[in-house]
Amino acid sequence: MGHIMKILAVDDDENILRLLEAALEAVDFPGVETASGPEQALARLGDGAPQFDCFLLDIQMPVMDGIELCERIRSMPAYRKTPIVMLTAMSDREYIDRAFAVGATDYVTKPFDILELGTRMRMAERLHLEIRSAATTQDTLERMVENLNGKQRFPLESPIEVEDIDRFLPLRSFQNYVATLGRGKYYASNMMAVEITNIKQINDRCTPKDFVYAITDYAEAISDSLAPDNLFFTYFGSGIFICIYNRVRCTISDDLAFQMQDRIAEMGLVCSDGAAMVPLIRCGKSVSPGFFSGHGNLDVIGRAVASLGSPPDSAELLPEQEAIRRFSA
Amino acid sequence: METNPTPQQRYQATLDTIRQKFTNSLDTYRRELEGYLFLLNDTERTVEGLEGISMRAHKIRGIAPTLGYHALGEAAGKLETVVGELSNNRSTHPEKTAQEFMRCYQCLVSGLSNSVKA
Repeated sequence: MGHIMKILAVDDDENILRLLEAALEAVDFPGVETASGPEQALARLGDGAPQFDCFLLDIQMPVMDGIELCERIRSMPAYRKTPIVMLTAMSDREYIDRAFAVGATDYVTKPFDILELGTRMRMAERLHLEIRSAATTQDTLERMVENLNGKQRFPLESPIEVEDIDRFLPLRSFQNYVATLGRGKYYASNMMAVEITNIKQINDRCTPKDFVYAITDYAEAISDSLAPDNLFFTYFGSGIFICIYNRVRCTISDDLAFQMQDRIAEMGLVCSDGAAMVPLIRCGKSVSPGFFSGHGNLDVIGRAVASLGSPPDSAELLPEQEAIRRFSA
Repeated sequence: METNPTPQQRYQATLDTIRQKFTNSLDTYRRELEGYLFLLNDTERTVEGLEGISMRAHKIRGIAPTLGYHALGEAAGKLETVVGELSNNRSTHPEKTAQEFMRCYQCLVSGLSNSVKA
């Protein structure tokens, strides 16, 4: 029995759509629906309940391109976090960056290899199932928090997904972005980890909601401190942010940690008990992926985390975090 | 007794069908491109000509590599990019861009002709 993720593929080339239908069936994702352009796709989506679990979008289409379509889909409440995979002949770094900046979660270049397509779709399905599970878990956690009068702590190692911060990518999308750059052989990027060293103390003093707000504010400080046009970053969990930037177009100042510290101080953050929330920030070394990153994106992310000098404390990591931690050990 | 084709076999059959259809269309694409090029001689139809060339190049670029015609796909991509520069007045050296356009155009058209003969 095939995977049951409901997929909508959008491409203005009928041949590509036919190939995709057959290819996705061959890799066990039968029943993909198709639209021959953005207008038809948007008409299908309407503004009601979510009908699709995943989108496959071409970029180069007349009138509205796939990146704008991605942005439109993301603006719909029903599809704020739905996996969106760009499937396109546009392999320039500019298109990759633009696509992820508006919310794409993965990127596959044409001509597509059917096995690679299958791998990306299984990863999209994993993301879809996690989102579905997280929505239920989040509801449960919020109810539990209310019942316990806010005594429940937010799991420190959770890679909280920050919203409405420029150039922030959820952890999985960040990994896919790094993998896309690797496949496209874009080696001009460097990666750096930024750690809030007293995150445990902050977590202990905060309610779960305050902790999420704090992480969001720290993310805003990072976004403001670095040149956002040349940067993406993610929250790894355990107070660690990971940034990737184009080292040709973006320079990192030696006193970056102080700059961030100053920005956060200006925000005047306090816990709900009124105590000041003062993070201690340190930056790891810039690491470059190199030409022989045999372990792919996990290797360079692991090295960025390792450059901080101490891996995260908790043993209860998500599988991808544990894999990264192994590289950083 | 015939068995139903597997999904993989259906994919291969679809690929073969589309490849055959594309191969049969190569000469048509070539003649269409030559027709649009001819329009560039008419000042009032230059935009129409460039749009037509861009559209054909885009179509070829999108499908050709998937069907194994990598060189054609690359040539079509370059032509589409140059037409974009010409159409949007993005070029700082229009004469040079025009020469590049002709080079890319001829590369694609000869690629189409050679693929028909192959």
